[in-house]
Amino acid sequence: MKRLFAVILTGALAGGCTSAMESGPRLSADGPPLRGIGYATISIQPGSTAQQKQLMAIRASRLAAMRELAERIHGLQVESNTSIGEGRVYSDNLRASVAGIVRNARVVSITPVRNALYETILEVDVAEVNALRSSSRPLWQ
Amino acid sequence: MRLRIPSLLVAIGGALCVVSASPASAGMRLVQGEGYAAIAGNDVAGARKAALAEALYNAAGRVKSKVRGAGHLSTYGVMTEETSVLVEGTLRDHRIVSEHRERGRYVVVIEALADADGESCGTKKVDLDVRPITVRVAPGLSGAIVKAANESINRGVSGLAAGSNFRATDNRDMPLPGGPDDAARNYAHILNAAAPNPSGYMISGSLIVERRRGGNAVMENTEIVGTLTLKLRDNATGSVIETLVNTHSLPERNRVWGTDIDFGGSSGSPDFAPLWQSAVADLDAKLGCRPLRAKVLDVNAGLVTLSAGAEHGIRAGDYFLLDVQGRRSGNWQVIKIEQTSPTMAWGRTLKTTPAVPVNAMVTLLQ
Repeated sequence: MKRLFAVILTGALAGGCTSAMESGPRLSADGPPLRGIGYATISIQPGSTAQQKQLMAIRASRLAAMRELAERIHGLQVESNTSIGEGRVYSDNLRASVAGIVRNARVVSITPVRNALYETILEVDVAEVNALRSSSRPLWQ
Repeated sequence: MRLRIPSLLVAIGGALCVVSASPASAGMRLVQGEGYAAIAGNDVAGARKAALAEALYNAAGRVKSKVRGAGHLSTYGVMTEETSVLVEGTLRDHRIVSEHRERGRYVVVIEALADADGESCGTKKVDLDVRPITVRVAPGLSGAIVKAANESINRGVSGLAAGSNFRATDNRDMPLPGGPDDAARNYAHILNAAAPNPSGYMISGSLIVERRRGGNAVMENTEIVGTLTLKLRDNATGSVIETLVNTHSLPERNRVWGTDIDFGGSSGSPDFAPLWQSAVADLDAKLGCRPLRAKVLDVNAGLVTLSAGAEHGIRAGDYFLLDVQGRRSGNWQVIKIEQTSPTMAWGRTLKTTPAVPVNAMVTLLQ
Protein backbone atom coordinates (compact mmCIF):
# COMPACT_ATOMS: atom_id res chain seq x y z
CA MET A 1 0.00 0.00 0.00
CA LYS A 2 1.14 3.24 -0.94
CA ARG A 3 1.39 5.46 2.09
CA LEU A 4 1.78 9.12 2.35
CA PHE A 5 4.85 10.21 4.13
CA ALA A 6 5.95 13.60 5.16
CA VAL A 7 9.16 15.35 4.53
CA ILE A 8 9.78 17.97 7.12
CA LEU A 9 11.74 21.02 6.25
CA THR A 10 12.58 23.15 9.16
CA GLY A 11 14.57 26.27 8.64
CA ALA A 12 15.39 29.36 10.46
CA LEU A 13 15.15 32.19 8.04
CA ALA A 14 16.87 35.40 8.85
CA GLY A 15 15.01 38.44 7.67
CA GLY A 16 16.62 40.92 9.99
CA CYS A 17 18.06 38.20 12.14
CA THR A 18 21.38 38.78 13.86
CA SER A 19 24.14 36.57 15.11
CA ALA A 20 23.97 34.97 18.52
CA MET A 21 26.68 37.18 19.96
CA GLU A 22 25.72 40.70 18.93
CA SER A 23 22.63 42.78 18.62
CA GLY A 24 23.80 44.24 15.35
CA PRO A 25 26.56 46.14 13.60
CA ARG A 26 27.69 49.56 14.74
CA LEU A 27 26.19 52.42 12.80
CA SER A 28 28.07 55.44 11.56
CA ALA A 29 28.10 58.10 14.27
CA ASP A 30 26.93 60.86 11.93
CA GLY A 31 24.09 58.83 10.47
CA PRO A 32 20.42 59.74 10.79
CA PRO A 33 18.45 58.54 13.82
CA LEU A 34 16.59 55.25 13.59
CA ARG A 35 12.84 55.67 13.24
CA GLY A 36 9.93 53.45 14.08
CA ILE A 37 6.40 54.07 12.79
CA GLY A 38 3.27 52.61 14.33
CA TYR A 39 -0.41 52.76 13.36
CA ALA A 40 -3.58 52.03 15.30
CA THR A 41 -7.22 52.19 14.26
CA ILE A 42 -9.42 54.43 16.40
CA SER A 43 -12.74 52.65 16.01
CA ILE A 44 -11.63 49.33 17.51
CA GLN A 45 -10.21 50.86 20.68
CA PRO A 46 -11.96 50.50 24.06
CA GLY A 47 -13.61 53.60 25.51
CA SER A 48 -17.03 55.14 25.87
CA THR A 49 -16.30 58.43 24.13
CA ALA A 50 -14.52 59.39 20.94
CA GLN A 51 -11.83 61.18 22.95
CA GLN A 52 -11.07 58.09 24.99
CA LYS A 53 -10.83 55.94 21.87
CA GLN A 54 -8.50 58.48 20.30
CA LEU A 55 -6.21 58.43 23.31
CA MET A 56 -6.11 54.65 23.34
CA ALA A 57 -5.33 54.67 19.63
CA ILE A 58 -2.43 57.03 20.30
CA ARG A 59 -1.21 54.65 22.96
CA ALA A 60 -1.53 51.60 20.71
CA SER A 61 0.23 53.31 17.82
CA ARG A 62 3.04 54.34 20.17
CA LEU A 63 3.49 50.70 21.22
CA ALA A 64 3.54 49.59 17.61
CA ALA A 65 6.17 52.21 16.85
CA MET A 66 8.19 51.06 19.84
CA ARG A 67 8.09 47.51 18.53
CA GLU A 68 9.31 48.56 15.11
CA LEU A 69 12.10 50.51 16.77
CA ALA A 70 13.09 47.41 18.77
CA GLU A 71 13.11 45.40 15.54
CA ARG A 72 15.41 47.90 13.90
CA ILE A 73 17.75 48.07 16.87
CA HIS A 74 17.94 44.42 17.90
CA GLY A 75 16.77 42.60 14.81
CA LEU A 76 14.00 40.13 14.24
CA GLN A 77 14.12 36.43 14.93
CA VAL A 78 12.26 34.54 12.22
CA GLU A 79 11.39 30.86 12.40
CA SER A 80 9.56 28.93 9.74
CA ASN A 81 8.32 25.39 9.55
CA THR A 82 7.08 23.92 6.30
CA SER A 83 5.81 20.36 5.87
CA ILE A 84 5.37 18.77 2.47
CA GLY A 85 4.49 15.28 1.32
CA GLU A 86 4.61 14.02 -2.25
CA GLY A 87 5.30 17.45 -3.48
CA ARG A 88 2.31 18.94 -1.68
CA VAL A 89 2.46 21.49 1.12
CA TYR A 90 0.68 20.34 4.24
CA SER A 91 1.46 23.18 6.55
CA ASP A 92 3.44 26.33 6.44
CA ASN A 93 4.04 28.37 9.57
CA LEU A 94 6.10 31.44 10.06
CA ARG A 95 6.79 33.10 13.37
CA ALA A 96 8.65 36.37 13.81
CA SER A 97 9.58 37.68 17.24
CA VAL A 98 11.44 40.61 18.68
CA ALA A 99 12.65 41.24 22.21
CA GLY A 100 14.98 43.96 23.36
CA ILE A 101 15.53 47.07 25.41
CA VAL A 102 14.83 50.52 24.00
CA ARG A 103 16.09 53.66 25.68
CA ASN A 104 15.72 57.34 24.93
CA ALA A 105 13.06 56.94 22.27
CA ARG A 106 11.56 60.34 21.58
CA VAL A 107 8.27 61.13 19.94
CA VAL A 108 8.69 62.81 16.57
CA SER A 109 5.00 63.07 15.75
CA ILE A 110 1.55 61.77 16.63
CA THR A 111 -0.73 62.35 13.67
CA PRO A 112 -4.37 61.43 13.02
CA VAL A 113 -4.85 59.98 9.54
CA ARG A 114 -8.28 60.78 8.02
CA ASN A 115 -9.83 60.56 11.50
CA ALA A 116 -9.66 56.78 11.21
CA LEU A 117 -6.29 55.91 12.65
CA TYR A 118 -3.31 57.37 14.41
CA GLU A 119 0.28 57.34 13.25
CA THR A 120 3.10 57.69 15.78
CA ILE A 121 6.74 58.15 14.81
CA LEU A 122 9.48 57.52 17.38
CA GLU A 123 13.20 57.89 16.86
CA VAL A 124 16.44 57.01 18.63
CA ASP A 125 19.85 58.59 18.02
CA VAL A 126 22.55 56.51 16.38
CA ALA A 127 24.83 56.82 19.42
CA GLU A 128 22.11 55.33 21.59
CA VAL A 129 21.55 52.52 19.09
CA ASN A 130 25.24 51.66 19.12
CA ALA A 131 25.30 51.75 22.91
CA LEU A 132 22.24 49.50 23.13
CA ARG A 133 23.70 47.06 20.65
CA SER A 134 27.02 46.86 22.45
CA SER A 135 25.66 46.74 25.99
CA SER A 136 22.66 44.48 25.66
CA ARG A 137 21.88 41.43 23.67
CA PRO A 138 18.37 40.82 22.40
CA LEU A 139 16.32 39.32 25.21
CA TRP A 140 15.80 36.06 23.34
CA GLN A 141 19.54 35.27 23.49
CA MET B 1 -20.13 55.29 32.65
CA ARG B 2 -16.87 56.74 33.80
CA LEU B 3 -13.88 55.06 32.21
CA ARG B 4 -11.47 53.30 34.54
CA ILE B 5 -8.45 54.14 32.42
CA PRO B 6 -7.48 57.31 34.31
CA SER B 7 -7.39 55.50 37.64
CA LEU B 8 -5.45 52.69 36.01
CA LEU B 9 -2.93 55.13 34.64
CA VAL B 10 -2.59 56.77 38.03
CA ALA B 11 -1.86 53.39 39.55
CA ILE B 12 0.69 52.51 36.88
CA GLY B 13 2.34 55.88 37.11
CA GLY B 14 2.41 55.73 40.89
CA ALA B 15 4.02 52.33 40.81
CA LEU B 16 6.62 53.36 38.33
CA CYS B 17 7.48 56.72 39.74
CA VAL B 18 9.52 56.36 42.88
CA VAL B 19 9.56 59.88 44.20
CA SER B 20 12.36 60.00 46.70
CA ALA B 21 13.69 62.68 48.95
CA SER B 22 17.13 61.12 48.97
CA PRO B 23 19.92 63.11 47.37
CA ALA B 24 20.59 62.63 43.72
CA SER B 25 23.21 59.98 43.39
CA ALA B 26 25.34 58.42 40.72
CA GLY B 27 23.97 58.07 37.23
CA MET B 28 21.06 60.48 37.04
CA ARG B 29 19.46 61.92 33.96
CA LEU B 30 16.76 64.38 33.06
CA VAL B 31 13.85 63.15 30.96
CA GLN B 32 10.70 64.75 29.68
CA GLY B 33 7.32 63.15 29.40
CA GLU B 34 3.97 64.29 28.12
CA GLY B 35 0.59 62.86 29.00
CA TYR B 36 -2.91 63.24 27.60
CA ALA B 37 -6.22 62.31 29.17
CA ALA B 38 -9.79 62.76 28.01
CA ILE B 39 -11.96 65.01 30.16
CA ALA B 40 -14.94 62.78 30.87
CA GLY B 41 -18.04 64.40 32.31
CA ASN B 42 -16.30 67.69 33.14
CA ASP B 43 -14.01 65.90 35.58
CA VAL B 44 -11.00 68.11 34.95
CA ALA B 45 -9.24 67.07 38.15
CA GLY B 46 -9.51 63.41 37.22
CA ALA B 47 -8.26 64.10 33.72
CA ARG B 48 -5.33 66.04 35.13
CA LYS B 49 -4.37 63.13 37.36
CA ALA B 50 -4.61 60.71 34.49
CA ALA B 51 -2.56 62.97 32.21
CA LEU B 52 0.11 63.31 34.90
CA ALA B 53 0.24 59.54 35.34
CA GLU B 54 0.55 59.12 31.59
CA ALA B 55 3.35 61.69 31.50
CA LEU B 56 5.21 59.85 34.27
CA TYR B 57 4.72 56.58 32.42
CA ASN B 58 6.09 58.06 29.21
CA ALA B 59 9.06 59.61 31.01
CA ALA B 60 9.88 56.28 32.67
CA GLY B 61 9.53 54.61 29.27
CA ARG B 62 12.15 56.91 27.85
CA VAL B 63 14.60 55.68 30.47
CA LYS B 64 14.13 51.98 29.82
CA SER B 65 11.51 49.92 28.02
CA LYS B 66 11.60 46.21 27.41
CA VAL B 67 9.83 45.41 24.18
CA ARG B 68 8.57 41.98 23.24
CA GLY B 69 6.59 41.18 20.17
CA ALA B 70 5.59 38.15 18.17
CA GLY B 71 3.76 37.62 14.90
CA HIS B 72 2.51 34.28 13.64
CA LEU B 73 1.44 33.49 10.08
CA SER B 74 -0.12 30.08 9.52
CA THR B 75 -0.77 28.05 6.38
CA TYR B 76 -3.93 29.80 5.31
CA GLY B 77 -2.84 33.33 5.96
CA VAL B 78 -4.29 33.59 9.46
CA MET B 79 -2.14 36.05 11.29
CA THR B 80 -1.86 36.91 14.97
CA GLU B 81 0.31 39.60 16.41
CA GLU B 82 1.13 40.64 19.96
CA THR B 83 3.31 43.38 21.36
CA SER B 84 4.07 44.19 24.96
CA VAL B 85 6.17 46.98 26.39
CA LEU B 86 7.38 46.75 29.96
CA VAL B 87 8.47 50.11 31.32
CA GLU B 88 11.28 49.78 33.84
CA GLY B 89 12.62 53.29 34.30
CA THR B 90 12.77 54.67 37.83
CA LEU B 91 11.94 58.30 38.39
CA ARG B 92 13.28 59.96 41.51
CA ASP B 93 11.51 63.25 41.26
CA HIS B 94 9.55 65.34 38.82
CA ARG B 95 8.08 68.74 38.21
CA ILE B 96 5.29 69.86 35.94
CA VAL B 97 6.63 72.03 33.15
CA SER B 98 3.26 72.89 31.63
CA GLU B 99 -0.37 71.82 31.72
CA HIS B 100 -3.40 72.92 29.74
CA ARG B 101 -6.75 71.90 28.32
CA GLU B 102 -6.90 71.15 24.63
CA ARG B 103 -10.04 70.13 22.70
CA GLY B 104 -11.69 67.98 25.34
CA ARG B 105 -8.50 66.59 26.77
CA TYR B 106 -5.98 67.58 29.39
CA VAL B 107 -2.27 67.76 28.55
CA VAL B 108 0.55 67.63 31.11
CA VAL B 109 4.26 67.96 30.31
CA ILE B 110 6.74 67.02 33.02
CA GLU B 111 10.46 67.00 33.58
CA ALA B 112 11.73 64.13 35.72
CA LEU B 113 14.96 63.02 37.34
CA ALA B 114 15.58 59.40 36.51
CA ASP B 115 18.08 56.75 37.50
CA ALA B 116 20.41 56.09 34.59
CA ASP B 117 21.50 52.78 36.04
CA GLY B 118 22.87 50.35 33.49
CA GLU B 119 23.11 52.84 30.70
CA SER B 120 26.08 53.12 28.45
CA CYS B 121 29.01 54.89 30.01
CA GLY B 122 29.84 58.30 28.71
CA THR B 123 32.88 59.81 27.11
CA LYS B 124 33.56 62.31 29.88
CA LYS B 125 36.84 62.33 31.77
CA VAL B 126 37.08 62.50 35.53
CA ASP B 127 40.07 64.06 37.31
CA LEU B 128 42.59 61.53 38.57
CA ASP B 129 45.19 62.82 41.00
CA VAL B 130 48.31 60.62 41.04
CA ARG B 131 49.98 60.61 44.47
CA PRO B 132 53.14 58.83 45.62
CA ILE B 133 53.67 55.30 44.40
CA THR B 134 56.50 53.71 46.34
CA VAL B 135 58.86 51.10 44.97
CA ARG B 136 60.00 48.28 47.21
CA VAL B 137 62.50 45.82 45.80
CA ALA B 138 63.47 42.64 47.62
CA PRO B 139 67.11 42.51 48.78
CA GLY B 140 69.44 40.64 46.52
CA LEU B 141 67.87 41.64 43.23
CA SER B 142 70.16 43.17 40.68
CA GLY B 143 70.52 46.89 40.14
CA ALA B 144 69.02 46.52 36.66
CA ILE B 145 65.77 45.28 38.15
CA VAL B 146 65.67 48.09 40.71
CA LYS B 147 66.26 50.61 37.94
CA ALA B 148 63.61 49.02 35.72
CA ALA B 149 61.07 49.10 38.54
CA ASN B 150 61.71 52.79 39.23
CA GLU B 151 61.57 53.71 35.57
CA SER B 152 58.38 51.76 35.08
CA ILE B 153 56.66 54.04 37.59
CA ASN B 154 57.52 57.12 35.54
CA ARG B 155 56.52 55.49 32.28
CA GLY B 156 53.39 54.08 33.85
CA VAL B 157 52.22 57.41 35.21
CA SER B 158 52.86 58.98 31.82
CA GLY B 159 50.84 56.17 30.30
CA LEU B 160 47.91 56.94 32.58
CA ALA B 161 47.21 59.93 30.37
CA ALA B 162 46.26 57.39 27.70
CA GLY B 163 43.24 56.34 29.76
CA SER B 164 40.08 57.30 27.93
CA ASN B 165 37.94 57.91 31.00
CA PHE B 166 40.13 60.07 33.18
CA ARG B 167 42.37 63.10 33.11
CA ALA B 168 45.48 62.27 35.11
CA THR B 169 47.63 64.81 36.94
CA ASP B 170 51.02 63.77 38.26
CA ASN B 171 51.31 65.05 41.85
CA ARG B 172 53.76 62.44 43.10
CA ASP B 173 56.65 64.74 43.84
CA MET B 174 54.97 68.11 44.21
CA PRO B 175 57.76 70.14 42.60
CA LEU B 176 58.27 73.51 44.23
CA PRO B 177 57.72 76.35 41.76
CA GLY B 178 59.41 78.98 43.91
CA GLY B 179 62.77 77.26 44.06
CA PRO B 180 64.82 77.20 47.27
CA ASP B 181 64.40 80.95 47.97
CA ASP B 182 60.66 81.62 47.68
CA ALA B 183 59.33 79.79 50.74
CA ALA B 184 55.99 81.63 50.78
CA ARG B 185 55.18 80.63 47.22
CA ASN B 186 56.27 77.06 47.84
CA TYR B 187 54.13 76.89 50.96
CA ALA B 188 51.07 78.19 49.10
CA HIS B 189 51.68 75.71 46.31
CA ILE B 190 51.98 72.78 48.71
CA LEU B 191 48.77 73.81 50.47
CA ASN B 192 46.96 74.06 47.17
CA ALA B 193 48.32 70.86 45.68
CA ALA B 194 47.89 68.89 48.87
CA ALA B 195 44.16 69.59 48.87
CA PRO B 196 42.72 67.11 46.40
CA ASN B 197 40.13 68.19 43.87
CA PRO B 198 36.88 67.17 45.58
CA SER B 199 35.17 66.32 42.33
CA GLY B 200 37.90 63.88 41.27
CA TYR B 201 39.65 60.74 42.39
CA MET B 202 43.11 59.95 43.70
CA ILE B 203 45.44 56.98 43.35
CA SER B 204 48.45 56.05 45.42
CA GLY B 205 50.12 52.77 46.14
CA SER B 206 53.20 50.68 45.75
CA LEU B 207 55.14 48.48 43.37
CA ILE B 208 56.71 45.51 45.10
CA VAL B 209 59.31 43.50 43.22
CA GLU B 210 60.46 40.18 44.60
CA ARG B 211 61.96 36.90 43.51
CA ARG B 212 59.86 33.76 43.52
CA ARG B 213 61.61 30.39 43.61
CA GLY B 214 60.15 27.32 42.00
CA GLY B 215 61.61 24.25 40.35
CA ASN B 216 62.20 20.74 41.62
CA ALA B 217 65.03 18.40 42.56
CA VAL B 218 66.61 18.74 39.14
CA MET B 219 65.71 22.20 37.90
CA GLU B 220 66.27 25.55 39.50
CA ASN B 221 63.52 27.91 38.47
CA THR B 222 63.19 31.53 39.58
CA GLU B 223 61.17 34.44 38.36
CA ILE B 224 60.84 38.13 39.16
CA VAL B 225 57.35 39.06 40.31
CA GLY B 226 56.10 42.62 40.29
CA THR B 227 52.92 43.46 42.22
CA LEU B 228 51.37 46.84 41.64
CA THR B 229 48.82 47.85 44.26
CA LEU B 230 46.88 51.05 43.66
CA LYS B 231 44.34 52.48 46.06
CA LEU B 232 41.63 54.47 44.34
CA ARG B 233 40.07 57.10 46.59
CA ASP B 234 37.01 59.24 46.11
CA ASN B 235 38.16 62.76 46.96
CA ALA B 236 34.66 63.87 47.93
CA THR B 237 34.41 61.35 50.75
CA GLY B 238 38.05 60.41 51.25
CA SER B 239 37.16 56.74 51.23
CA VAL B 240 39.03 54.04 49.33
CA ILE B 241 36.55 52.84 46.72
CA GLU B 242 38.74 50.19 45.17
CA THR B 243 42.11 48.53 45.65
CA LEU B 244 43.50 47.47 42.32
CA VAL B 245 46.12 44.72 42.44
CA ASN B 246 47.95 43.59 39.33
CA THR B 247 50.76 41.06 39.19
CA HIS B 248 53.23 40.33 36.45
CA SER B 249 56.04 37.78 36.51
CA LEU B 250 59.20 37.69 34.44
CA PRO B 251 61.27 34.50 34.07
CA GLU B 252 64.74 34.90 35.55
CA ARG B 253 66.51 31.52 35.71
CA ASN B 254 65.58 28.08 34.50
CA ARG B 255 68.54 25.77 34.75
CA VAL B 256 69.75 22.47 36.07
CA TRP B 257 70.96 22.67 39.65
CA GLY B 258 74.69 23.21 39.93
CA THR B 259 75.18 24.09 36.28
CA ASP B 260 75.09 27.24 34.20
CA ILE B 261 73.02 25.66 31.45
CA ASP B 262 70.01 27.90 31.04
CA PHE B 263 66.78 26.54 29.51
CA GLY B 264 65.08 29.78 28.59
CA GLY B 265 65.44 32.25 31.43
CA SER B 266 65.40 36.03 31.26
CA SER B 267 65.69 37.35 27.76
CA GLY B 268 66.92 40.81 28.70
CA SER B 269 66.10 43.73 30.97
CA PRO B 270 62.85 43.26 32.92
CA ASP B 271 59.83 45.04 31.56
CA PHE B 272 56.95 45.96 33.88
CA ALA B 273 54.86 47.64 31.17
CA PRO B 274 52.16 44.91 31.22
CA LEU B 275 51.52 45.77 34.87
CA TRP B 276 50.67 49.32 33.98
CA GLN B 277 48.62 48.36 30.97
CA SER B 278 46.47 46.22 33.26
CA ALA B 279 46.25 49.04 35.80
CA VAL B 280 45.13 51.57 33.17
CA ALA B 281 42.51 49.12 31.91
CA ASP B 282 41.25 48.58 35.47
CA LEU B 283 41.06 52.31 36.13
CA ASP B 284 39.23 52.84 32.86
CA ALA B 285 36.71 50.21 33.85
CA LYS B 286 36.25 51.61 37.37
CA LEU B 287 36.01 55.26 36.45
CA GLY B 288 34.35 54.96 33.05
CA CYS B 289 30.80 54.62 34.36
CA ARG B 290 31.09 57.01 37.27
CA PRO B 291 29.21 60.24 36.69
CA LEU B 292 31.33 63.31 36.29
CA ARG B 293 31.13 65.75 39.19
CA ALA B 294 32.13 69.39 39.36
CA LYS B 295 32.43 72.03 42.02
CA VAL B 296 30.56 75.32 41.87
CA LEU B 297 33.31 77.95 41.81
CA ASP B 298 31.18 81.04 41.51
CA VAL B 299 27.60 82.21 41.11
CA ASN B 300 27.08 85.65 39.65
CA ALA B 301 23.77 87.01 38.37
CA GLY B 302 22.47 83.54 37.61
CA LEU B 303 25.64 82.51 35.82
CA VAL B 304 27.21 79.48 37.49
CA THR B 305 30.92 78.68 37.06
CA LEU B 306 31.89 75.02 37.37
CA SER B 307 35.27 73.38 37.85
CA ALA B 308 35.03 71.01 34.86
CA GLY B 309 35.51 72.03 31.26
CA ALA B 310 36.26 70.90 27.75
CA GLU B 311 39.21 68.75 28.85
CA HIS B 312 36.74 66.74 30.90
CA GLY B 313 34.52 66.33 27.85
CA ILE B 314 31.96 68.94 28.89
CA ARG B 315 30.18 70.64 26.01
CA ALA B 316 27.60 73.38 25.68
CA GLY B 317 24.17 71.83 26.15
CA ASP B 318 25.22 69.40 28.90
CA TYR B 319 23.24 69.42 32.13
CA PHE B 320 24.44 69.28 35.72
CA LEU B 321 22.29 68.40 38.69
CA LEU B 322 22.70 70.17 42.00
CA ASP B 323 23.21 67.44 44.56
CA VAL B 324 21.72 68.75 47.81
CA GLN B 325 21.68 66.50 50.85
CA GLY B 326 18.25 66.12 52.35
CA ARG B 327 16.52 68.09 49.65
CA ARG B 328 12.73 68.18 49.59
CA SER B 329 10.81 66.70 46.72
CA GLY B 330 10.99 69.00 43.70
CA ASN B 331 13.73 71.06 45.30
CA TRP B 332 16.48 70.16 42.86
CA GLN B 333 18.25 72.41 40.45
CA VAL B 334 19.61 71.79 36.99
CA ILE B 335 22.35 73.84 35.36
CA LYS B 336 22.53 73.98 31.57
CA ILE B 337 26.03 74.59 30.24
CA GLU B 338 26.36 77.46 27.79
CA GLN B 339 30.10 77.90 27.41
CA THR B 340 33.29 76.01 28.25
CA SER B 341 36.99 76.65 28.64
CA PRO B 342 39.55 73.82 28.93
CA THR B 343 39.03 73.45 32.68
CA MET B 344 35.87 75.40 33.47
CA ALA B 345 32.29 75.67 32.29
CA TRP B 346 29.62 78.32 32.61
CA GLY B 347 25.92 77.69 32.69
CA ARG B 348 22.55 78.93 33.87
CA THR B 349 20.00 77.33 36.12
CA LEU B 350 16.77 76.08 34.57
CA LYS B 351 14.63 77.15 37.52
CA THR B 352 14.65 80.21 39.69
CA THR B 353 14.81 78.19 42.91
CA PRO B 354 16.58 76.72 44.77
CA ALA B 355 19.67 78.91 44.69
CA VAL B 356 23.00 77.31 43.83
CA PRO B 357 25.52 77.80 46.65
CA VAL B 358 29.21 78.32 45.95
CA ASN B 359 31.35 75.22 46.65
CA ALA B 360 28.36 72.91 46.11
CA MET B 361 28.97 69.71 44.20
CA VAL B 362 27.02 69.12 41.00
CA THR B 363 26.73 65.92 38.99
CA LEU B 364 26.61 65.58 35.23
CA LEU B 365 23.30 64.26 33.99
CA GLN B 366 23.61 61.59 31.33
